[in-house]
Amino acid sequence: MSDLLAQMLAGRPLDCRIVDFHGHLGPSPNFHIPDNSPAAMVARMDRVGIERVCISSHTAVYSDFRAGNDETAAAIEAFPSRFVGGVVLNAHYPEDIASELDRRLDHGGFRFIKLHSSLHRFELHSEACEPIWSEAEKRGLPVLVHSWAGSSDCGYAACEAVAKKHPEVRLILGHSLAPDGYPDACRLVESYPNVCLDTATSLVNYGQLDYMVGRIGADRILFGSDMPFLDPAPQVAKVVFARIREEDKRKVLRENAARLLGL
Amino acid sequence: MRRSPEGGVPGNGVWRVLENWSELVEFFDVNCTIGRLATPPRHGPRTVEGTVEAMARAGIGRALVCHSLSIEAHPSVGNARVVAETANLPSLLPCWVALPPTAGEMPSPEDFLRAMREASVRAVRLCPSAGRHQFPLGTADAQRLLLVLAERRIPTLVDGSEISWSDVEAIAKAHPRLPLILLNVGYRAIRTLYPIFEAAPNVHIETSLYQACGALREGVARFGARRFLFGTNLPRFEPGCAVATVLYADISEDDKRLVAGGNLEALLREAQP
Repeated sequence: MSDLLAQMLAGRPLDCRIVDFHGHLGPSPNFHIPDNSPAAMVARMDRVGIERVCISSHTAVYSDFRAGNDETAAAIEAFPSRFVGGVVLNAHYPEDIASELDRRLDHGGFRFIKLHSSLHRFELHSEACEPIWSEAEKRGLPVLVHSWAGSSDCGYAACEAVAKKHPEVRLILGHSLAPDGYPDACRLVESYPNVCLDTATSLVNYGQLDYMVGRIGADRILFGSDMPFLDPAPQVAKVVFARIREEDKRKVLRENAARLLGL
Repeated sequence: MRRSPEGGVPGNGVWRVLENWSELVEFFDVNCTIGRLATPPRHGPRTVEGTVEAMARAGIGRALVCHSLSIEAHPSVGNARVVAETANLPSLLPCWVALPPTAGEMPSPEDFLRAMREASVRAVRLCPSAGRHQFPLGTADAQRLLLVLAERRIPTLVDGSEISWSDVEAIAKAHPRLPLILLNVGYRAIRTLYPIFEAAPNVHIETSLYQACGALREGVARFGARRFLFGTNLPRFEPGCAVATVLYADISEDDKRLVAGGNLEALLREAQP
């Protein structure tokens, strides 16, 4: 039995100092999330063994990105060693893109851009989004996007167009084209060296990670929990129970994200 | 399970120090399907043996199982198969699928329960949605079936996507002795679920998709552990994820044991087919 699997079956926090690349923060307009505060999230992180989580507040991805980025900044200030910020931007507000990045990056704690084009309703590969990709390229910032199979905003075609047009931008496909588009997501990784995937999905498909690691290796797959949307324990279990090598589990759970974030 | 004062558990006649939570908590899955699905998951187990192996790897001792033929074809086809295919597998307990009686496709509810008793089946699943068995739950026909299930306290499973919340509340209130277990209730359902829990103490949910951060903690604190039943949604989902949801929940050890298997065990024990 793998060491991590034994730890999980014992119900202990895992020892691999997990870095979670996909998290949020705060209440959701859409449904009740019991443990959504920074303190409650940190308690859950401690319980499971997550050292840091990359967050973008729900306020930012559902509504006003600047107000939401303020919430993210406050959480980082409260727990600087536990949260890494994602600057949420919205292509409908091109005039705010550069200034918002300046404001957030100056204060530290923010290390990537987060786009939720499905909720903000723009297409990742549209002209309107170009200023964001240009800034990401200029500043060397990774971009985590919500990706969803079949979506014109953030599906396979949109993600491929961005990956192809902006080879210098490190593009992380949140959810790996969920709910069932992960083979296509793997195809993008095979075709474009700037594409990475994350593991966050509520549908914990049997054998999905085994397939992904078997096809593209573990080096470009990042652990994502989507907490507090989702509890992190079953999301971590998705990696721990995968039928893959122990060293690959540790790459997914920490090493890949730590390298990307310069931790 | 008994525990020693030092936190050990009895094993092979001697007390030993507990190493694995999963050894202490007995997992009994309420949401498992066997048989060849019309649209099988890409990688999940496709044989009964594969399902049992996947359960064992995740530390799951037993599962209540429906047959894909009962759900996707017809109960009269699948119900016999689930009994036959689990006959020599003590870790799998068969669950039948029922239809309302008037169309004459199934025996009367009384005869159906008699057949259940003879086959040692103690739970029933209903598939009322348009895409499945397509019958309304509010009619006298369905009520005739539900009345008998309630009288005999038969645990009655319905996928949360196949029933409206208003039907859940109406059925649970009309049949307070009926243990109604909703499968695959998602993490976005809490706002709707809590009022139902308040209104109807006989409503339970299965946990494989109930994943919002702190959902199990808060739900157990507000409504008690007996409302929640461990389930995996095998063969579609990775069963270890459902196990971790319970193992890492911020609830007491006693409550973990209830959610993991104690509640299902008790409901099946109380059933009188």
